[in-house]
Amino acid sequence: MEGPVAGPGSSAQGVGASSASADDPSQPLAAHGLAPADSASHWPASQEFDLLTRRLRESEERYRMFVEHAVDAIWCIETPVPIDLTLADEEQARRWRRFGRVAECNDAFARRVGAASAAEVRGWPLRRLHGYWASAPGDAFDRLAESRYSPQDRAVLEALPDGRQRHLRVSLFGVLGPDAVQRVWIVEHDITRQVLEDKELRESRDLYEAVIRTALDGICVLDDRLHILDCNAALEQLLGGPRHRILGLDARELVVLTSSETLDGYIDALRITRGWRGRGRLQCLDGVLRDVELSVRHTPTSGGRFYCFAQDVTQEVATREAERRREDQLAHISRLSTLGEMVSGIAHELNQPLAAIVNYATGVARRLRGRGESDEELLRAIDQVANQAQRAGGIIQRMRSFAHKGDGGVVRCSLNKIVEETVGFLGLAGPGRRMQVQLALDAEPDAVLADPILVQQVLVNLIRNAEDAMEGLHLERSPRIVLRTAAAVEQGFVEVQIEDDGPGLAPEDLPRIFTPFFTTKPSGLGLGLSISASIVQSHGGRLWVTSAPAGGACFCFTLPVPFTNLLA
Amino acid sequence: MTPERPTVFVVDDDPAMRDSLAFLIGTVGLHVEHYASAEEFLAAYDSRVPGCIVLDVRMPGLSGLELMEHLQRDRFAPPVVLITGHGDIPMSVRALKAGAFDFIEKPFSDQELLERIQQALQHDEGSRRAAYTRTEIERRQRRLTPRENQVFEAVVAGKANKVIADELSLSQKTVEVHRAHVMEKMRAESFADLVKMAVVLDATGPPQSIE
Repeated sequence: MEGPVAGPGSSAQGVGASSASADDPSQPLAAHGLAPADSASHWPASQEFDLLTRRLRESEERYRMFVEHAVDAIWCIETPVPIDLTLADEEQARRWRRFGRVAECNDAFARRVGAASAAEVRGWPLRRLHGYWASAPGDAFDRLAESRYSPQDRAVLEALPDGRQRHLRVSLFGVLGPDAVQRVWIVEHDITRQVLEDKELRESRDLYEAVIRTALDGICVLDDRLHILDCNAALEQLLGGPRHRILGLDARELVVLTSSETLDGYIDALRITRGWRGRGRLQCLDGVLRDVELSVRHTPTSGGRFYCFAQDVTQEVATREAERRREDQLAHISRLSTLGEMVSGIAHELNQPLAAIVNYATGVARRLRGRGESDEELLRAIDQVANQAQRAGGIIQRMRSFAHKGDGGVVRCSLNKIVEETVGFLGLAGPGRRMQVQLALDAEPDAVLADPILVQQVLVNLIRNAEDAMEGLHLERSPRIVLRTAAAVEQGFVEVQIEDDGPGLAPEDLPRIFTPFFTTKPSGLGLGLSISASIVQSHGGRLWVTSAPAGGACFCFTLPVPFTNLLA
Repeated sequence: MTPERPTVFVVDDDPAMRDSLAFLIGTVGLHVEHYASAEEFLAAYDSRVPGCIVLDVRMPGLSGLELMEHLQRDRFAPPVVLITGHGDIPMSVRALKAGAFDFIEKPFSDQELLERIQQALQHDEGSRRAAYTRTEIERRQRRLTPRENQVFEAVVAGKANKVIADELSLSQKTVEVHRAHVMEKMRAESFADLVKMAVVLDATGPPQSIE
């Protein structure tokens, strides 16, 4: 590209700098071998003539430079005899094809036809040129003749000897004399790269279209004012409306904002950061609110466009929400139950001495009466000791029955389902957990008569204990909890086992583990196992512990099977 | 038989409860022995001693229910009055299913407890006598010869001597001799006595006393 521009420029400079010398202007031409070095000296030394000559040379030089250094192939065809314009169009074309020779060309053309220099190519007949021009150049000359050699523009595909193809844009035009056409000039512009790029572009556009059309995510394009320009089928489904209702919508009307932030704030930020990802909620055309994971990109080109990708996560959000609620509920029940257990524990502890007081007092009263004691005041007092102790016992009894009020939830339910759900929401098998949870659930008998929430609480307690027991252990394998269900030895009961890989229980701790406020954990309250035991007992079952074959602890509890199942 | 003094066995892990129960039960002149655990009781257990057991259902180690499962296997085991601490229905149902004579919920009055103990003692006496009677009758029956046994079964089935003689291919005279031996060996004073003994031997349920 530099040649044609720099060439004439630098020579003009050279001319200006050496205008005093008559020989100087010929120098650039001589250097190109276009004119004899001393040609100027044959002409009369008239100043005007010199000037004209110089101008002419400069002009010729300029054009020659353009042609020489052009990237396009430029060439000219002549026939030995100019072609008479009165001949029929076909005859003219035939003569071009038959007698046409390369009269002039530039290096670009020479390179194109595989020659070393332009000089080598001059005089070549048309048939010596490969490709398009060699194989009777189609209807190019017919067209030229038809149009009286006015400029013709055509796209040409040329097969190269090495098998490749070259796309050319070819301009032809003829130079006419009085009655004949003198020569035809041809300019060939290589557009192969452009054609290939166009093709690539088209293919990539097709690919993107296919991807967008088949994408599961809703995709749309917004203009700078956030109006929807285009969308895919997934977005129609997500928004619950047909395409024609979606196009042109203002995206601001769809997005439900959860906080005081304004959408415009986001948009302004987007223009700077170009991209944004996050959660949002859409007010859809079918009236439903949907939670979506949004990804937005902004391109400042073509007036500013926003590309939005929306994935429906309503189900996921609902599931997580339900899980969170259940965990809250469980925590709440756990707290209540802890309280209940404390009341229960206190009640039991107080009941024992109170009952003993009653026994002693009534025993004394009986013995006194048996001996014929007649001191009524003494007898009344000892009776009152018994009565008051009994009254205290009654108060405690009421307190305890209040604390145990929650046993209304006993229903017939699936034990395996409770186990599976508990494992599920504890996230034991989740990513990043080293813990292995193995379920060995017996399909029969599955139905139990129990309060599912309370049974879950027992499971949570026992599983957390197992986890804690294995924490900090450097086992070769990953720590493992096995959960089993099976028919219990005792008829009419199902047994659940929670077995861990931990170090097991110390023999000296065994008698105390179910006692309230006994704990081996640094931060434990010591109520988990006693609460669990009390829950299981309130169902009529038992909770106990044995040793696992591998040395860990194995906690077992039983729950009753519904009567109807017993009869079956 | 040598009827020993009936004993109330109190099994409770709480020392104050144990001692006060013994004190209360002692006021009506009953002999009381007390144990801190089911294991301790089983170690000293002698089925020949009549009486009843007052048992707290919730104890560390062997629980009240498990102790009862042990005792179930023994024909002469004394009846059990269970004290249920938490007053829960499921536990009470399980106690009765496990063979408890009765249960009593805390808090209870002295009257309630003593009445139940008396009932349990009466029950024990009755079943002990029945068991003894049955053992005695079984002992007598074992002394019968096979032929006498056949005659015994036929007689109590209400068959006439003639019918028995035909069935066993014996003379009527021989049947009469066998029958006299049966009456003597079984120490039956009348035909009615013999039938009553047969009823006891046939009884499949718990031994019942016969007058």
